[in-house]
Amino acid sequence: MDISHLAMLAVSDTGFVFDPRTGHSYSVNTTGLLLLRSLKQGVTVSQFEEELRSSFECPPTIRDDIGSFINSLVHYELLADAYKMSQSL
Amino acid sequence: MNSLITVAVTGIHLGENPQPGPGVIRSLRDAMGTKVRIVGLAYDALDSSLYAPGLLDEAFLIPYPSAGPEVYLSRLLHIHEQVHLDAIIPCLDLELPVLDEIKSVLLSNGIRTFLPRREDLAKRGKDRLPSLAADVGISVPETHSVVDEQALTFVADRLGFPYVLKGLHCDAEIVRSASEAISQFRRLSNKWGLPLLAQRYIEGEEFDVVCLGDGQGEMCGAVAMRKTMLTRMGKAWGAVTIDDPDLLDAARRVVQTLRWRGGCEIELLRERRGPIHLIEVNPRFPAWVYLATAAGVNLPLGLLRLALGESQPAFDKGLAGIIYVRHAAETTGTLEDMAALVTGGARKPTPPSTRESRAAQ
Repeated sequence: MDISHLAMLAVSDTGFVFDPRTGHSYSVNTTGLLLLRSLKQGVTVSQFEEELRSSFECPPTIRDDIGSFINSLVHYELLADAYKMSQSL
Repeated sequence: MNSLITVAVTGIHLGENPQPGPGVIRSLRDAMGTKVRIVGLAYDALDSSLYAPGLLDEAFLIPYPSAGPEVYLSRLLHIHEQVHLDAIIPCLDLELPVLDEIKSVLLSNGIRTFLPRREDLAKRGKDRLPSLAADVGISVPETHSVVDEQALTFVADRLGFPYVLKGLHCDAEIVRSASEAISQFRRLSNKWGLPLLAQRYIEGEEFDVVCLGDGQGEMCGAVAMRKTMLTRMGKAWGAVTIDDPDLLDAARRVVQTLRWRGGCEIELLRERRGPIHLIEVNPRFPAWVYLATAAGVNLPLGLLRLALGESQPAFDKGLAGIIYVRHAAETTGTLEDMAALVTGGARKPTPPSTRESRAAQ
């Protein structure tokens, strides 16, 4: 799945995200930062969910929450719509 | 450029509609330090740079280009006698046809320029943009010439609302209804004359690219940006540099097609999930040109080198993520300063302080 646009993002340790292609900037919280960095490295949604569940006490809605974050990335055109399908979201 | 070079720069007012001169001057000073002497050429005794400390070494008033080539030339040669100009960098559109007419006389007096060719100036005009876009192979919003109010009905039928109504040289307004179209038609035609241009409104994001063309079809350097803050007139008050290969490629193709000579600003619109459209080609550096310098691509320096017949600096790709916000500050002068300009046409500005720069080290 194409994550080339995502891979271009400049992401600071504080959660400031800059898209060099469009000039838009965003901010994410610590969980979002963790997910964004994982996605940039090619980690799948299921792998990330598993990692979260093994490291933290997660609510049952965690997969929906991840899906909601992915929706935001799609909305801002940082990920293609097809990504959601590929991750069974 | 080892010896002191004296460069005249026009378009030096930083007001609500900021002009490019100050950005060009700062770029030259950054690169050349004490090896450049800047002569500011102003059209009004209240042009802001005249009173900005550290920007100009010499300052003169000049007649408007509408006074004609002979008057313009006479004034420039008079200034040349006093300060010995090596080059002129014009920063306003309307100066270009006049300078084109007098460039050979300027050169014979030792004053260099690097100007766009007259035919290329015409080719990038707003009214000929569709033809240029076809040559470049880039999309352009559907555009119609509007010569009278009656034509607005046809335009509305063709384009629907909203659409963009533009002056031939500058100014534009998005119109959303027939009454708004008539009102803006009257405002724009009173201010800028006819024809106006009506352009299909396309939803998307606008990006600007500042470029330098060598006149042979090569783009020497370019930096793209997205505006982050706008003035009421839609001018950039803040921006961020970006790295979008598609936009830079589109700009390169425009420069190549026109075999553009000198600086220019190319306005592009990326349609949401759609193609890139060519919106405008401005025939000089934009007021935000210093942002490109801050991103590592000093295009005014490149243009000066081309004017002087020297080799080009090697421009890297500009850094993405360099931001600017324009900072408006009051400049002050005395009645004597203004009197010197109004009655004598010249003023000795506050000279730049000793500056450390790469060039001077």
